[in-house]
Amino acid sequence: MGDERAEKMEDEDFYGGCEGSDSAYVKLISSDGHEFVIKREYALTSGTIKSMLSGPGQFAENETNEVYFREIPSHVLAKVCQYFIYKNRYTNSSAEIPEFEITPEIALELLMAANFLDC
Amino acid sequence: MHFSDNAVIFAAKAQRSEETPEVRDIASVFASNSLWKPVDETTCCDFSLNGSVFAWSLGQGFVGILTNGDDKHVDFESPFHGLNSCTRVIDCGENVTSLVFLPRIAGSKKCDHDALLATGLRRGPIKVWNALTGDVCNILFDHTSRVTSLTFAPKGLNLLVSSSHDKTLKVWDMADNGNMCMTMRAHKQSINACAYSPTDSQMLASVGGGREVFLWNLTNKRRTGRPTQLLGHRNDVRSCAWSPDGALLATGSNDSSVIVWDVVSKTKVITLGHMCPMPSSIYAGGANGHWVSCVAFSRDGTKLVSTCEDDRARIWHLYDNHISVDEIPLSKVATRCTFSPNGKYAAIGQADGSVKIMCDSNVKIPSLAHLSRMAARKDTKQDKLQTIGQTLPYLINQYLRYRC
Repeated sequence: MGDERAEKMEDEDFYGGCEGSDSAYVKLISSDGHEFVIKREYALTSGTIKSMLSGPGQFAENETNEVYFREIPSHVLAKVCQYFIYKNRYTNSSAEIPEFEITPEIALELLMAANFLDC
Repeated sequence: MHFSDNAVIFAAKAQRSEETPEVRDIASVFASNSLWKPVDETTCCDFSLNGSVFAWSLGQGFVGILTNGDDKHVDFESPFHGLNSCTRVIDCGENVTSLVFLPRIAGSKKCDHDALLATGLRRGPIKVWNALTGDVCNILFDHTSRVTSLTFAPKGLNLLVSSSHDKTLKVWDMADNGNMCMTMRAHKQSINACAYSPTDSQMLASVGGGREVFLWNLTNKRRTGRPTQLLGHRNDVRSCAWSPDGALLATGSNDSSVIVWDVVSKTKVITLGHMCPMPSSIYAGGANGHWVSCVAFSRDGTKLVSTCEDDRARIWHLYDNHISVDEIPLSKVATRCTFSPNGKYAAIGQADGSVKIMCDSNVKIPSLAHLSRMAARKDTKQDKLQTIGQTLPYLINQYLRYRC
């Protein structure tokens, strides 16, 4: 009985994890320690993250699927993740594209992060 | 990131972007009447601020209005049949030479709705209409010659500025029932276009004959100092447009070029040439077959549309790896162009009252760096830009100033 229930849970609620080279999710960690778990394909919008996670050579990030950003604070990294999702949602879509809101206070830090991340 | 100091990009040599945009036509109403010739009119077209109403001049003083009836953006993909699809036709009484949609004006009972349309007419009056019902809200009389352009102040200042062939700009206070506050005189020849900066309610650009491009600083609605002049064009300047963050000003001229200026440092950022090679001074100052009649920026700041005498309208994509160009041939002379608020459509008004709509079904999402740059520039006053620049690394500073 316990086994059946466990199996059922696996089929319905299995989201994929962070382990392994083909994991569905990756973890982006800001300078102040916040961890952002985001789908791998969304994170690959950034050229820098893409080369870290799937480039040739053995980056440590490749193994653990975690990327530490020592200069990007969490309020900026949160916005970056929102941009990944915004871009993937509305690219090649005929829906009405809403504006991507950026408050002026974070605009400059976001510019520097975007420049670093090449996205 | 590819602008070098005052680079020149030629339309003929620029890369073509991968997909050609689709084109829809709104046919001319009068084309079947062989006795009618378009004379002394400008087929201007404009979208309302949220994109739900589209107005264009049909000729003979009529303005056609197209709307879905609700707040959604006008849709040109579904088929429509020209005049039969017009929700309304407004008779202005005289040839319409410019039109613009205004935002709501709280405080004035007649003007407190979303479809306020101001039309500038050939002999000088400006009529303000409610585009959805066709009622006149206001008539502003003072210009003595055709009104070439209308622009509205940002941030709720309720000032309408009009430019005219009588060499003056006039400022009208719309909250005060359209009373004229100020006449600005500095142009020596007729003024072809004027535009308010979308972020700075004190900065106004006006362009006109005699190579004049002026930047006005309007601290007060009743008085203004001398404007600063941007030098660089070699022939009459026909049109001006601001980028949505107020950092760049594009001016189109009869010398076959569109110059994009950095407003803070008053220098050229990039020149878009429509004739390759650049015409020598004698042709630039006269007839060269490539007069640029109108320019407009898209709302996300990544595209610029220009219409040229060589019967082509071009959409320039400014921030891909290389500047790429979409060209469409036009069958008649184009007079005005504008982008829709959702970025999907570029409307090009042609001299006989027809409108060509370029549909870009795959609108590209701009890069995060560009979006942040626009957000930062929208909020930064000119004097603060210098202090901010000192805290940033060199390359980022250059990027912020549209220099790389």
